[in-house]
Amino acid sequence: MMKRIGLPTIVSLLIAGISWWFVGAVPAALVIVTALVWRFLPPSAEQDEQPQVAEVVQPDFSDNVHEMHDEALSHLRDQLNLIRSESNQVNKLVQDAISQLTRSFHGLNSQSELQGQLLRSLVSKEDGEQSFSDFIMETEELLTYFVDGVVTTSKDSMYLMHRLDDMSERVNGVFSLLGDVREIASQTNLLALNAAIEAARAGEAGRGFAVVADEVRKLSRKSDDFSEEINQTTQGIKDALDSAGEVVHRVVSADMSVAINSRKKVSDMSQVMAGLNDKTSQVITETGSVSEQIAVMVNQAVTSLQFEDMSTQLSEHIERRIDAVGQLIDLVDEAHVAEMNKDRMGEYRESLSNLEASLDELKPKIESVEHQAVTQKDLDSGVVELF
Amino acid sequence: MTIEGVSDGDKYIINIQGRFDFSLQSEFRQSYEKAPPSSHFVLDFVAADYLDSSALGMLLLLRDYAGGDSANIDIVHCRNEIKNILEISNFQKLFKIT
Repeated sequence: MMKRIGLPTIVSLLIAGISWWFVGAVPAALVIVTALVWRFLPPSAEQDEQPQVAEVVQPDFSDNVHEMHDEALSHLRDQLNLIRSESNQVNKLVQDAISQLTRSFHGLNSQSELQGQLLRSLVSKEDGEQSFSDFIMETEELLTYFVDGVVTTSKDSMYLMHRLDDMSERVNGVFSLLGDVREIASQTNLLALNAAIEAARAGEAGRGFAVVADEVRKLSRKSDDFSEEINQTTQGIKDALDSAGEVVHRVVSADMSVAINSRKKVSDMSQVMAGLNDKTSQVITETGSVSEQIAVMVNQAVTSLQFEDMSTQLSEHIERRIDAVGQLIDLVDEAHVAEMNKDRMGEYRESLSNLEASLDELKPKIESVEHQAVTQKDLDSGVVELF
Repeated sequence: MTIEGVSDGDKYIINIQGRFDFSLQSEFRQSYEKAPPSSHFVLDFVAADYLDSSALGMLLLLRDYAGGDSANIDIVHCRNEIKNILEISNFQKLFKIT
């Protein structure tokens, strides 16, 4: 009798354990319950057919069976405890790893944002700061100012030059007039000479006239000397005008190709700077979008890391299952004890009904765990909102 | 003779040859002062190969002679170097340059 009860119970327990592992708690529990109910039903007529055989073998095997049963149960409990502690360990490891990963990802995100800010600060214009394009523009304005100055100076100088030319022209007129004056003086001198000759011919009567003629001759020489002085002075004026003209010549003759070359260089530099600016803004825009992508990816990663919640819940489920299995083991043990004391049938039936009640109590618990595990078994199928 | 002024109908054409610089100042002035200020002046630069700042001053004085803002002056047949100088000096606003 003990052999027939004990071995199917252990076999049922093993089947239950295997099916729990592969399928879930409900089928396992059903297997166990079925086995128990089958074994602890009140003895039927069929069972009474060979009572003597059972009574005969009982002393030989019952102690062994009890030992095996207790040993198996003790191993089972040890294994359950080990599973429980290892599951806790795994849970803790996962939690640590996830919190570290989350910190790392947030750090990555903020570093990438910082990088973007640094790059933007390279080209952003602060108050009072001068940009390259402002510099180019000011250089061009300076160049225009310079050219305008040159042109204005040139116009004024050329105007001055025209006036100097006009003065030269007038000075030349003075020379011409002086020539006329010298001509008159020369003729006067000649006339005075003729008068002196005529006075000499007149003898004593012309003596007075000779004196007058001499005076006129002196006057004509003085006039000649005077016009020579004017001539020299005027020549000085003409020389001064000429040297003023030379100064104007020097001032006004600027080679404009210098300005042209400068303008060309400024314009080339402006183009280079514009290209550089474009390139810089392009790089910064691209960096910005890279930062955004990094942020999106980091957010995705952090969202994915929320499976920590799932794993925590799943490991809670595992723990509850382990508890359920523990209770199942206790029930099996109780059933075994009750069967041992079957002489006291009342207590046996009481234990059996307690067992059935406990099983009924356990059943919803197992089923609820089963239900939750089914809804949360897929990480990728959009069940994140469950948390 | 590097500067030559010729009347052509209602236009007064001044041909400039070689270097247009200070040395031509008197000749240039005389050439345009032969024409009345209200003339339609045409400066032909086809044979001119250089122009310095004194030439710019002379052109502005010609413009003043021809009535300032109401002056009617064309500058034609400019080679590129001369055109660049005239443009950098903003002369395209004061003269018709081709």
